[in-house]
Amino acid sequence: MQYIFVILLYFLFSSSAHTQDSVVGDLSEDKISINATFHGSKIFIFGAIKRDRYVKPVPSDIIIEIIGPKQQIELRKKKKIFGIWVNGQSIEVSPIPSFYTIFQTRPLKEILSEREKKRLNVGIETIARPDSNSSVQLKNIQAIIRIKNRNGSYILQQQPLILNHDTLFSTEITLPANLLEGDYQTRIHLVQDKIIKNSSESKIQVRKIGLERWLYHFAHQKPFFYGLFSIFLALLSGWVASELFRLARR
Amino acid sequence: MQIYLPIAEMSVNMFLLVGLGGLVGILSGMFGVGGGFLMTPLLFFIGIPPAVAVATEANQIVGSSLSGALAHFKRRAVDIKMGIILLIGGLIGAAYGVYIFKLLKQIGQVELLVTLCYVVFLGIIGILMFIESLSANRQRSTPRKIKKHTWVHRLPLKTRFRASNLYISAIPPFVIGLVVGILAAVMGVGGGFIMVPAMIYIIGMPTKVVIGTSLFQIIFVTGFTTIMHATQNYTVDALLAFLLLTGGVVGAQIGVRLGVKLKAEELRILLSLIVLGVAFKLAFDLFATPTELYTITSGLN
Repeated sequence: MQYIFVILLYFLFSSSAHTQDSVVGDLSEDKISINATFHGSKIFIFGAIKRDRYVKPVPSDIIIEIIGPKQQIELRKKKKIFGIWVNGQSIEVSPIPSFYTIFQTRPLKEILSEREKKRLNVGIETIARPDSNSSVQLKNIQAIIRIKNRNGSYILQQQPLILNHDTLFSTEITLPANLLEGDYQTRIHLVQDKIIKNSSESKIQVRKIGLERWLYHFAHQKPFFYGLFSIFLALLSGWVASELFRLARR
Repeated sequence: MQIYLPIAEMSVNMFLLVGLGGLVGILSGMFGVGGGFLMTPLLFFIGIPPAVAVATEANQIVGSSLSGALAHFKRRAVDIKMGIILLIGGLIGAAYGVYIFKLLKQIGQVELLVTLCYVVFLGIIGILMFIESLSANRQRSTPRKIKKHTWVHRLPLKTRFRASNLYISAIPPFVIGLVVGILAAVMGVGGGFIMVPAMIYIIGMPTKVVIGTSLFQIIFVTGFTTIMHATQNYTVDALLAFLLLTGGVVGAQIGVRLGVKLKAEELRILLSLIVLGVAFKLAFDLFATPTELYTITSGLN
């Protein structure tokens, strides 16, 4: 009889093992169009924790990640040759996200274990370094993250995410101008007891439109004609401008 | 107002670009130089990737050279035959230059070579100009013997250049064109600053056809270079070139007017100082320990 009582007590107090909490979220925009006057786009991300009704609310944390399409980059380290700083050999790096940002209610290392991070690929250091353990690789990845953080491709310092009434969260992200075309993954994670209990995913489509898109594709798909076009444009504008001046002088 | 450059893949202030084009345009109008050798380093300084800066500058020079070339052509101040030989050398040189450029891109050393070339050339030219402008200030006369026979006159393949009133080997213009072509492709310049002195002092052309002939060659060679860079390296940004041109042509007109008002010697000292200044900044950046030792380039650039 006492054993049953102990077992019942155990189940009563270890409520976290039994929550059916989940997280739902949405975005204000799911399509971004880059055009001539694009200098950054604001997206509003919001959501809520759907709580399991029959259990006392468990302290929860939310992590929001926006992950851009992977790109292949070349990493080089400068070295000094005859006093001049020169780019060294290209270091092999597996493709990494072109863009990344993270919002969190508390710092990642406080709310998640390393194993949990690796399990679901959370956090840019985990995403960028899927397998290796070497310290040289670690330094390289850290350099890449540092550079991308500085040029705005990775936005790692965001204001802490606030969970209103232990349920609602919302935040705003300003996407920079130099985005790659593609699908940007938005992941919202619900974290309880250092474990990711539930995730919600959606997608932001980024496309170049208008003049920029046309020029970009023209340059890459029909480079010879693009070259002719560029020359013609230059000649035309040079001629028009000088003619205007000539007329103005009269 | 920010504008997004599709090939350079970055957002830049539109007015900054037009202003930059205008500034270099003023200098080019004042001193009668192309301006490519100033514009390309300035594009580096504002963050345009070097490969795009060089290729786009070649594009811009096509447009900015047109009005000058036409003006000289109308006045019959172009030696077409000489221009064609310079041109042939130039096209071959440019093709070779773009090929070198492509190899450098693959090993990630474009920035290094272009910067080194600039430091060397701007340094030499700046010093020469500085010395020359100082001596001109002291009004030392330089008697120039027009029909002096030098080693150049002993070269084979002589032909008659009627517009220049010369009977001289075709080899010097070809070689000059070749060198200028390589430089145009690798550095994003027109090459006038080498061609003009070379035409005067090595070939011995009369000054009245020198500038027109040089512009004639530059338009074709930079046009060819633009197409080569566009097809081989995908680095020509037509939008960037267009914005620089709009400022550049206006600036050139202003510059010509300003240049008339200032004294020639002062202008030359000023220009030589600007050239040396840019050379020093580029050299300094090569030797100074960078704040970030790593660089990343995306697969496209």
